[in-house]
This record gives sequence, structure tokens and C-alpha cells, in this order.
Amino acid sequence: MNNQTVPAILISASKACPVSQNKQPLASLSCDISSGTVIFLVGLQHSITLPYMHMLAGIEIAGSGQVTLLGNNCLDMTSTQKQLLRQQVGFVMQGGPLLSVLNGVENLKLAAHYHQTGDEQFIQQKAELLLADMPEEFDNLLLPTYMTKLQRRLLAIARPLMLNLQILFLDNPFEGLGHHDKVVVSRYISNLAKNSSITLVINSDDLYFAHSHANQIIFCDYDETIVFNSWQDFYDSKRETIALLFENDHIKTDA
Amino acid sequence: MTMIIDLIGQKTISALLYAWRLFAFTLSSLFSIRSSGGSRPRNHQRLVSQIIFSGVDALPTITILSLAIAFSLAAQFLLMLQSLTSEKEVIQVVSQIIAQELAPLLTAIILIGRSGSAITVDLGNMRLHQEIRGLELLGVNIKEFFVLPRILGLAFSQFTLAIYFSGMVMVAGIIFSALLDSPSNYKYLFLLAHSFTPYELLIFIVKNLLFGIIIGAIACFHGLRVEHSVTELPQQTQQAIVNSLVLIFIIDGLIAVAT
Repeated sequence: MNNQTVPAILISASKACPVSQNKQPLASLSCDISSGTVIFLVGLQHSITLPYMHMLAGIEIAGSGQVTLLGNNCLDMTSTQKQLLRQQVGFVMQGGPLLSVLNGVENLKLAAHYHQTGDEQFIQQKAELLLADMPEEFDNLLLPTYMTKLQRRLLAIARPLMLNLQILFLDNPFEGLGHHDKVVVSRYISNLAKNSSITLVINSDDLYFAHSHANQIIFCDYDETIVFNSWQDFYDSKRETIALLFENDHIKTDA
Repeated sequence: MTMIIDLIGQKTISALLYAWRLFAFTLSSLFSIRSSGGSRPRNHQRLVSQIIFSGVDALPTITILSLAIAFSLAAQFLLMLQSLTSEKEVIQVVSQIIAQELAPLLTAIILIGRSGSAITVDLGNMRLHQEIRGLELLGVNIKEFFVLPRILGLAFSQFTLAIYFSGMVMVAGIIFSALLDSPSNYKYLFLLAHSFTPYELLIFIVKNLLFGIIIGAIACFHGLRVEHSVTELPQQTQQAIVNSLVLIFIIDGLIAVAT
């Protein structure tokens, strides 16, 4: 992040309460997310953090309060506006599902073709660049079912990058990956954070990754949300629920 | 007694609600191009793929079925009727039964079994594996991307396959009757062209396009209703097939009464 310029606020939540999957209202969240930052959403359960993620990404509207996404009030947006906004706000779901009937490279180019971000040559070049940036080489002409989990995950993360993104939401990007694959995906996301101006909002329980990259950590629980502006603030927190997060992680000794 | 009336009332309301939702789904899908800012070049590719799968690939099945119907029905009708009435009326009656009634219905049944069920399973699987949700999050309009090409593809396929089916049955039926009875029966080939009025042709076009739209819309509607469980997939497929058949027969009956 450039210290000399004031970063633009891309997402602003003001006393915004998401609604959980079982229709329970969750605690309100107030935060500002600036451009070029890496934000971590952590919580004791994925089912708690996910509604916040959906709310900040403009996928679900807040039960109360206000969320402004790239200057748009999420409550007032029409479905067409929301659809157009997805060209700037990417969201990679947990598991990173790809379209099973298209091969790897076609999956990558799909969104760009759909939104007509350029001619075929431009899209092909951009796809090749993205594939070249991937930490692992693979046959991208295979259907997703014949790829490894790691290859599918990398493609799923790269897929929205074909658009003109300002924000990328990654829901549990390391879910179900073995140690080696997790390291490779971490490296890929790290490079993305360093080499692009895209704001990353990551929902993950990987505290080591948060420790290395997060500019802001948003802790979500049933009855409260806390925004930490640095890892140290988060680590120094005396809250029991946050201490629970560290119990199952080796980060405590590393930090 | 009250329970029976309650049950009938509930079933009627749910059937009406289903029809309304299906109608709204079909309309919103047909107008999805407008809502998402105009046609995209790749839409045509998906439409062509659907036509190839539903139309071109169904040709062998339709050919075999039409030859069987030509031999078992058309030729027999011709032979029976020609002793009862004039040549012109014979060909009119046979073309009415074959082209206006049998061809659209049998083609629709083939399409429902072959393409409708495949579409429901295809979309249902994509829903189950979150592939459709993943695309929605990329700003892709699902109705425009998945539903519209399938509906239009099936409408076009139904229309062309019904023409092919009618033509095959009529021509092969006349040839079979000539082979079985007398070469003079070839005269019906020349009378065939004059056996349809423009009004009948219009009804034929409207009916077949409507059948295709209904089959495609019901298949997509049920495919996209699959939510979380694999067990929903056969249930939705079965519902799609049954509802398509029921609706096709009801509409066919209504058109027959109206015309």
C-alpha cells in the first residue's frame, strides 16, 4: 500500500447485521475496507463468518444497518446492478467449483467472454498470462474432473481475475487441501496480494497466513464482531473466544 | 368428506401455483437477453450445441419411429379410407391425423424422454456441485447462459423434427401403401402438397414451437430446483418428465378444441 496517498474506501459497513443460514440475526459489524489491503475474516465457525462475507460482498443484503460496496448502497441495488458489480467484485466459493463441461482454459476465459471484456485475442493473452503466473504447470485443456484438487483450486481463484476486479473475496481457499497444496495456494494468494492492486477479503481459519498477510482482521462471533487493525492487536486480545482460535493452531509459538 | 375437499383444494392451488411459477420462469428466461444488456456472441454457440444435441442427434430415433408409424398407421389408414371416400378427403384425413396430431405429440414425447430429462439432470448436477452458483458470482445471468439456449434449442428442434417426422410418415406411408396395394397410390404424393391450408400450417408452427418451449422450460425449471441433496435429482427429473407430458397433452387438447 502506498503510504503517501489516502486509500479509497471500497467497502463500508455501518452497524450491518447479516442474517445467518438458519435466519438468526448476527452481531452488527462496522468497518471500512480500503483498496489494496488484505482483510481476514476469522471466527470459531465457518457458518458465522460466511454470512458476513456474503454481506460485505453484496451477495446477501444486511438484515439491518448499511453496507456500501464500491460506492453503491447494497440495499438499493437492482439485480442487474448487482450482476454488473460482480465484474469488479469477485467471489470464489469454498471448494472453488468450476464448470464441469468446460476445460480448464475455457473455464478461465468464460467470465471474460460473457462480459465481453475484450476480443478473443486479448482474452486468450490474459488467460495465458494468468496461467503462466500459476505456481504449478498443468494441462489446462483437461476437464476439471481430470485435474487435481490443487489445479482446480488455482483455476477457481484465477477465474475472476479475468475480469476488471477491485475486490476479491476468497471463502476458505485452503479448505480440504493437503500440506503441500496449501503451501502452493498460499504462495499464489501471497503473490496476488503483493503484485496486484486487488483488495483481498479472505475467510479462513489459517492464522499463520493471516499473521503473514493481513492488514485488518475481522473477528466474527454470534454476539459480537471486533475489527483489529493489526495482527498484534488481534494476538494481544484477551478475549476467551479469540484465545480458543489459537488453541488449535501453532501460531501462538510462532508469533 | 371435508378432508377430501381440503385435499382437492390444496392440490388445485399447488397446481395453479406451479403453473404460475413456470410461466413467470419461462417469460423471464425468454427476456433474459434484454435484461442483461443484449445478445452475446457465445449465446449462439450454446444455441447451436443444443440444436445439435436435441435435433440432429435425435434424427435416427425419429426416422425409425416415423418409418414404423408410416407402415403401421399411415399406410393402413390410406388403404382403409380409400374404399370409403374420395382421394382428396383420404389425404386430408390422413395428413390431419398424422401432421397435426401425431407428429407434434410423438416428437414431443421423444424430446421429453431424450433431451428434457438430460437437461434436468445436467442442470441439477451443476446445481448440486455449486457450479451454477459459482457462475452467478461471476456476474453470469443463469437464465441467459443456461436456460434461454436450451428453451430456444428445443423449440427449434421440436419444430424441425415435427416437420421431418410428418414428411417421413406421409411419404413413407404412401410408398408402403403403393407397395402393398397398387402403384396408383403414388398419386397421393402429388395430392399431399395441397392437403394443408395456411391456417393449418400456422397452427402446426405455433403448436410445435409452444411444445418445444414448454419442454425446455419445464426441464430447466426442475433442474434448477435441485438444491442440496442427490436424492432431489431423480425426483425433479421424474417430475419434469411427467409434468411435461401432462402439459403437452393438455395444450394439445386445448388447441384441438380451439381450432
